[in-house]
Amino acid sequence: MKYYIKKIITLIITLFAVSLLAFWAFQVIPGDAATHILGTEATPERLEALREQMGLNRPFLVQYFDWLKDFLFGDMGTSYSYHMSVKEMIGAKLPITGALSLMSFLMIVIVSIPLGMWQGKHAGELPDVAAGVLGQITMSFPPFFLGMIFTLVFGLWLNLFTQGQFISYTENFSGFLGYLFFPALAIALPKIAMATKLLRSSVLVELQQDYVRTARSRGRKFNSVLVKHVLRNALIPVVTFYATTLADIVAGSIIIEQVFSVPGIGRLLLSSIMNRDFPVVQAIVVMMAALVVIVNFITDLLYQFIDPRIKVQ
Amino acid sequence: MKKINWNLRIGGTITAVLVLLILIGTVWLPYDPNAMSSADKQMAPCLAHLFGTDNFGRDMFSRILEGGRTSLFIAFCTVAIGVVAGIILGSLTGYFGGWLDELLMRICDSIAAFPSILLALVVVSVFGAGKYKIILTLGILFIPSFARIVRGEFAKERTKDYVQNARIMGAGPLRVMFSHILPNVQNVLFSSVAIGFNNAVLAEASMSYLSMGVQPPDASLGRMLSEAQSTMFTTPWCAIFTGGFIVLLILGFTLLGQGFQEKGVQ
Amino acid sequence: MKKGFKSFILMVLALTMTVSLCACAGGKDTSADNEAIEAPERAATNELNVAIAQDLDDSLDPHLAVSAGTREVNFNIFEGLVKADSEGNIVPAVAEKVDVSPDGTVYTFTIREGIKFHNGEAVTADDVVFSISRCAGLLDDGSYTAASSLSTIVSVEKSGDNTVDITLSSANAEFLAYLATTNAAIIPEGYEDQATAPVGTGPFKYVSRSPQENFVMEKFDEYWGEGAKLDKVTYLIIDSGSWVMSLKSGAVDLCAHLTADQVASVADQYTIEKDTMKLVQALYLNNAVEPFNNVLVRQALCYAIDKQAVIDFVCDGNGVPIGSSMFPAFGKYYIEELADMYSYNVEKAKQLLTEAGYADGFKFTITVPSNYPQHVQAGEVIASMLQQVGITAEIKQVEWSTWVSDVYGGRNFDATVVGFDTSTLTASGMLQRWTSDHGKNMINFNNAEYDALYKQAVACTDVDEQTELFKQMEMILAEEAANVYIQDLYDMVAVNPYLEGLTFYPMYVLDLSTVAWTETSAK
Repeated sequence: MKYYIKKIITLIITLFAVSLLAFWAFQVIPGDAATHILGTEATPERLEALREQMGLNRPFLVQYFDWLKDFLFGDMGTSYSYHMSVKEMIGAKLPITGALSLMSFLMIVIVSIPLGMWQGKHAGELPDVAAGVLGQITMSFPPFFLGMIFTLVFGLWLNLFTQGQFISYTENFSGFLGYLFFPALAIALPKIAMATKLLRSSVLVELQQDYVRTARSRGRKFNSVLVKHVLRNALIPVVTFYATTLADIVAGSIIIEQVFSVPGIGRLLLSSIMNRDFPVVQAIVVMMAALVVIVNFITDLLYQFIDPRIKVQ
Repeated sequence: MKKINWNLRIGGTITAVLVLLILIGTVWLPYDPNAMSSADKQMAPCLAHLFGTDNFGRDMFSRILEGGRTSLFIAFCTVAIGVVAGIILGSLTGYFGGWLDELLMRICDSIAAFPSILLALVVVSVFGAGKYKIILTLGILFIPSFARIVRGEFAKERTKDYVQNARIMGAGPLRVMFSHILPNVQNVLFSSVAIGFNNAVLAEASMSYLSMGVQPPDASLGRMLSEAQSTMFTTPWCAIFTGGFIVLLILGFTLLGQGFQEKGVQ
Repeated sequence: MKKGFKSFILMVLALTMTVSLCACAGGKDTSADNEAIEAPERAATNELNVAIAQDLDDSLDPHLAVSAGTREVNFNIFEGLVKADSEGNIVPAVAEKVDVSPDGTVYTFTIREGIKFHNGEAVTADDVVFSISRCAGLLDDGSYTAASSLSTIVSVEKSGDNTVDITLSSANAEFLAYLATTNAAIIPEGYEDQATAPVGTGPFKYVSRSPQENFVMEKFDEYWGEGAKLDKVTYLIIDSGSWVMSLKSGAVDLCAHLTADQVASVADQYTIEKDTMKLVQALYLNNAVEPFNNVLVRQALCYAIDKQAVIDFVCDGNGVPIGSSMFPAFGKYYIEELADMYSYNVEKAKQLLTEAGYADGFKFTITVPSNYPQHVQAGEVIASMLQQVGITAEIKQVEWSTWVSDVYGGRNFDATVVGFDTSTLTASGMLQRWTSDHGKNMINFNNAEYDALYKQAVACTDVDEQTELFKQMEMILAEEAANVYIQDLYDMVAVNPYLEGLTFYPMYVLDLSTVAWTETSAK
């Protein structure tokens, strides 16, 4: 129990530090919100008045806690470029990037587990070696290059999706998922190769263990030993990988959304950076950071669940 | 029978060839990478232009080597920052342990958990894009992973006999750390350096693809690839060779990393 | 050993396969995809998809919109009291009639009978007074900065049930042209959400938007004029790097501002319409810094640069060479001969440089905004041409926002390649900015005769005389070689062959109200 409390406290402190950092980063840049709103023709008096009104003259920490409070209550401010509430904008984009990331993650898990097991079982045979080599090359493809190839091959030649014609989830949900399939695959493919490789070697290590021999000598079928015993143990190092992958997927979506013209969080983030639309950038960064930190926390807990040996501390 | 370390060999060969080409490129290139020529517009790969030419008659081979140079330079600098700072932090914390160890590792954990592209984008949005800003950002982001690895190795090694012996012989902590322990962790270190190169090349290409990375006039493979996107139908070789070069560069470093890992295990 | 060797062989095999696959991928394009594109399904419901690179992220409020891309879209939604037609004439819009007082300072507009806003309310004199006052900066709330061209307005008053008087500080023959832009659009008084859900009087009405995704507008059924032919238009925000893909895949039916390479990729499948962009692309020189404060050096640069070669190179020949700050579409003000004033002549350039004391050449920096490939590339070609006469020009690419603050605002540069256009259909829109005391005279051009001519021209009420004065100003710019003028680029638009009716305007707008689907393909 003490362990969990310690973990939760660390989590809160990390989240706090990340938000403070994100808030501070955008205070460093020349020109504050008031200059952005009034534009270049602003007069010093008007600027001063607006700063007063927006509370930009208060001490840094006061502003920070105020912002944090609003943020926690769901008020993320108003976009400079779109004059819309940031919460509304992000809310509309979240399902898109969420679906993209989730699809990608599922692809990784669903493909890599059986493939890694199979490769572990047939280690050294030709198909395993071939898959290993193919995986090695796949790993070296930057996702955006894969994306370019996919738009050409699957989008134009095979006509499996219409590049550029994004289908909104409010309109046609299956069409929406269909459009996201290839972007998700472009993110997932290199990760599938990595996860498979990791699982394969982890399976190989486990197969050397005594318990496998014992089980086999008791007449259990090899496949059943593989699934019932080996998998559970072999997955332990891979779970960490899956967890770190989630952060990479979210980052990868920023780039892939650009390649496939998917109007998700990533495109919004990039365009907001270009336009210096800081309320939006700030909100997205803090949210992504929080997501990553929380996922890591959950992984830690999960880890304990599957590997009781860790519990000692 | 001694097992041949194929990963190390293939990775080493690919990396050596590419790095050699790029190094030769710093002193001599077949064409000026920015020289345009209307007579040589959109030429498919041929003997005069190995990788063909783009819409402005610029030689793709020269341009790719120049872009590769930027990639390599950035990768080298970022890894150097990461390794030097990582060794210092990791060896101190790993050797001495204690509350400083705990604190630094917590900080490292939180930085390492973060997608590096996202942090790099934040830095760019605050300070603007550019070669040196990218180097500094990626370099700092790489410190935790090196520090963690070095720390782990040091913590493991310091209890070993040869370290105890050295101490008894009267060697000071610095001497023990750097002339006794460090040589023993070199394979692990080489492996993570190679992986660091791999990550740096990928990160730079991605940032430049989003036009948030290296700014012109510095050539960049990522930006060349994003420009090649709209000419994929008229001059497909621009995209293929640029992308292929990035793939090979990453492949070389990945294999090299795995090769060192294997070597460390043996 | 055995496994390692196997994997080595396989690696080589796989690499070869990847390369050959890529090569096949490259080879395939010549054999397929060359047939003209079909009409999409949405043609049946009379809908159109248009690709734009830049989201409308300055403001949907027409009085605050500053980017050319936003104004291009706004032209379909908003109208001023008057508007421009495709010939460049000023025609009535929200006002059906305008009377000018004999001294030219009071304009009386009669509002068109029965004209309505998109929200169904009738346009009243109060709305007009509010709109004009607001965009001219006459409102007390002070939150809106004046459009500089409307600063001649002294007062706006309601003079009858449906008439409005606008009083100017002095007569201005170009005043109506100022009112013809969407920056002077008529919008309903007391409507608060202009920035998020705009309401105007144009042939299309705003429906919805999704940031970085799309902007949707529909036909406005109660439009006073002929009205739009399409029922619905969706602007898709697509990065220009993906335009070719989106055209080829059929996601987009119309896409403007294509580069020569992009046109080459889609020309087989789409009708390519082109017209000049109505802007002046030049190597703009900072006339206040060494050595460009010397007219001989500026002229030498003009001789050293082969305009036609730049056009051929950057735009595949799709541009019109020009010689002063005026573009061909402005028929009556344009002087064609100026384009040939400095014909390409390296010897002459060298001679002038020697005369100016720069026989060994010099070094300078060309700052270009990196988001405009046609300007960056022109700069690169110019730099290689200048090498021939011993001048070293270094290209410095900067972000657009940096360009605006350092070059345009701060005037901290040697030379830059950009294109200047005008948001109003007036000659002074192009020429006023180079008067010595103008706030946006970025090149620091300082010529007393030029300033005097400008004063004379704006005060002039006779149109022919005024035209002559403007032409004299253009001559001065050319003779003084204020800048190295290059071209007015062609704007190339890919249009689905089943579409008809695209018309070009002498300003940077894209009118979609005349576009319609047809049964037959133009291909």
